[in-house]
Amino acid sequence: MADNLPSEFDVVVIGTGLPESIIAAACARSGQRVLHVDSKNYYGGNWASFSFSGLLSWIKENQQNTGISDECEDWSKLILENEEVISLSKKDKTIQHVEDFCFGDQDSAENVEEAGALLKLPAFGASDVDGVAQESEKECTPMENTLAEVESQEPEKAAGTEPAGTVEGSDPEITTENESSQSTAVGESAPETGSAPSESSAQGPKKITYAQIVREGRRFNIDLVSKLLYSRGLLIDLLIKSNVSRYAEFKNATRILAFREGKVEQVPCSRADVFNSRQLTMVEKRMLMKFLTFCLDYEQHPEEYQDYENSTFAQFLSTRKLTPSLQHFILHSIAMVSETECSTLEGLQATKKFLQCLGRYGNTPFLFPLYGQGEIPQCFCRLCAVFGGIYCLRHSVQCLVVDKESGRCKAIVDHFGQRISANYFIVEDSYLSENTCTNVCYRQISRAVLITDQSVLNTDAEQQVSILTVPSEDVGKPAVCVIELCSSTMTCMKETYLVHLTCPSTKTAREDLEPVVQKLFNLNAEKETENEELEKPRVLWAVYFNMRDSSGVEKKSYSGLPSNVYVCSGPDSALGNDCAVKQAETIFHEMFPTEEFCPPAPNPEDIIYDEDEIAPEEAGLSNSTETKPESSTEESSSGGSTAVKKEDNEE
Amino acid sequence: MDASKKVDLKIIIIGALGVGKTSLLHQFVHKTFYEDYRTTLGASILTKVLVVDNTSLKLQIWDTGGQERFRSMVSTFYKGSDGCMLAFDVTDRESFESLDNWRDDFLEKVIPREQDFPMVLLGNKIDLCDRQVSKEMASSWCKEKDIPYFEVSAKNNINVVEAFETLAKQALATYKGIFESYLTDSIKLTPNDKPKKSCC
Repeated sequence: MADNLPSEFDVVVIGTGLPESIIAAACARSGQRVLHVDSKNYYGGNWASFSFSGLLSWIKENQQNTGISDECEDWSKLILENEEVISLSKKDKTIQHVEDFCFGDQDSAENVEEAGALLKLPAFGASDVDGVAQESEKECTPMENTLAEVESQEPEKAAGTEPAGTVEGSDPEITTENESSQSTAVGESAPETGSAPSESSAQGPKKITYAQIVREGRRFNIDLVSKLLYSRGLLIDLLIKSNVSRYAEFKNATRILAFREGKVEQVPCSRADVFNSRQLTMVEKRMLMKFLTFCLDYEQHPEEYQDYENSTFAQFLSTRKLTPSLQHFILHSIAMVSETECSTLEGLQATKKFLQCLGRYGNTPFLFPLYGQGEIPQCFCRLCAVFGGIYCLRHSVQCLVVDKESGRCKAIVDHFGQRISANYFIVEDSYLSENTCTNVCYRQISRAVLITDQSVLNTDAEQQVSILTVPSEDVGKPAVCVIELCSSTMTCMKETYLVHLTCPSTKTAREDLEPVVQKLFNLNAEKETENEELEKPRVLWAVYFNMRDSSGVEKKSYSGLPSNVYVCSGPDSALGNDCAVKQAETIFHEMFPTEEFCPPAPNPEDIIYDEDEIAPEEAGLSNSTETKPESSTEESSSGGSTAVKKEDNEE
Repeated sequence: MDASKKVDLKIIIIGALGVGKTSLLHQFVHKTFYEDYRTTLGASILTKVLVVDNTSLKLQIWDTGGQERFRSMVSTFYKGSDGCMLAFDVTDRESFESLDNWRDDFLEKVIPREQDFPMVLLGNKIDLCDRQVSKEMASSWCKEKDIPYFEVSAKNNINVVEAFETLAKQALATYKGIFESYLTDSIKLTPNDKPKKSCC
């Protein structure tokens, strides 16, 4: 299997985050020989997504301060007289203040294994996987049978509470003969709490335990970056144009929410929503429709806003005969701009952008990738690979080699002591050394990820993807963007929701975001609390962290970088992906001004060989081509029918 | 489940570099074979429609794109897959020995299911003389893992269709048993999608 890495390429890309992956794809697409490496053993860098156990490892790694200095091969003899070296960073320092909290009984999960984790003992092998997976997938019914079986072997704890004792891992007395019952013992707290509480507690949701989360860990795809795709944004357009879209699937964001006067409400934003809304009065409906219609076309009516060009958008709204709640919806949930910093024109433009994106795929402007944001950089990497790009994870680069005379970078030296030459180098910000970044001022992004047991806004339809903007109580501070994902996005296990919170940092992530978490969620594990708290979804697990925001840093802020070395930033705090796409296109055109940026890749049925034979295949086969419109642009205008459809498919 | 509805299945093909994965794919989908080993540029997902058990199946078969060379496959490759085709070269012992790694790798990345994941093993290049892996050796490996084994030749089109059809059948049977088929209810972006009329 060991293959030798070629030592000459046209472009070397270091880091597999979104901007650099788009560039890698664009380069490969235009015929460049690309080497794309990442020091980690996963794709995406700070744009990655993780299973639950993967995230726990990531947390641990980032909470440890020790920099493991690996032994590197001595590269000094690879450097020539007329060359000098720019070292790259040995350790990623972009994540700080990582704090994780488990609100369930963590002890109960002590010996619980993630379902599907390959066991070392060959005797167990696949069947144990089946046993574990089986009882966690099905609901209560099949468990009642096996529960009886287990009961005869093990003393039971009281039903309806966290049976920490029974989950105490593999009971040594249970022999390996009956594997399925053994794994049931491990997991039987799941159906226990699943089946019992629906009787014992009035209408509470089934209690998900921490043990279940661990066991179902692979059903989680937890993104480090929380974003949505605008249906008419740069990223969607690029995905479609380049055909990279065929590597991914998407779900509609189904609800726009607002937080006002202590309550979460749905914001009607499409004509149909407004019409159907039961919260708005007739008068309000007319007001809102009139205003939104104006916004969609606002440049045609300068007389309406020219007097307010020097005011904030918030002030402008207050003059528009809109009720306070409508003003709130527009400012915070539709335009999503600052109350104090955003001008009238900026606000109108933001509102227009939102409105223009409505209806392309669904009722809201946004799409979310199935399996999470972390899929997107990988899709571009795949395109790059398919066009000849070479991929090496777990591959660190020690330094850049610069020619003293020309000042251009000629090569890299990797972790294994191999010198690899190229003409262009793309380096993601986190790989640059402290020296290179001494003059760079970074901002930070505050992030939180929660696993919860109910939606922030419970309705009959459980499978919703919602975006909620919570303005800060301190008027100057940035609003917090909350994105709630349901299990059909394939980012969390059934009956849980994955909630992402993001805002530009003022302090640590926990300080910035916990107040919002407290407003929306119940953080008291399992204790019976006030009625008000009972209505709020329960947080089962949470993590907070600050992530470096290296977006918008000018190249000249980095010290001593040759002209043919380009820097890509990490994630920015905006909701969309425009920053990454714009960066990629700009850098690509700086390197290759005459090349087209990510032109459509050929239809998969057309095979192009890189040598003599060009053998385009006939499309006249029974295969359906990818470019035919698929039948799945399914969402109808009322959210209700989507939910009904999904429930029909569940057996 | 609606019988007239076409079922979409994602199949992936994994194995060491050079065993003939792409050739097998092309033989199955296009009934073509190219003698020279060359990196295929541009083709990464091939589609084939077949009818299995009275159900119309659209098989979306993902090639690795060459990322197996340094064991750097994107996890996107694995996600949502309904069946896995493992392949090795009967004239390359190492490619057989690395099968455990490929299989484990795959099992580690997919969401575990109640039944065994649909999988088949293909021993390719039986048209060549210098075999290093015997049929017995491969069969017993397969028996241990409880997966079907096919001796195939992409070049001479031996057993290729049978292998794919077996996998397709397995995948279909499993698919029907999974209640999470609402997953197929997603949006696929295509260049020809017509924007709906704006609601506003």
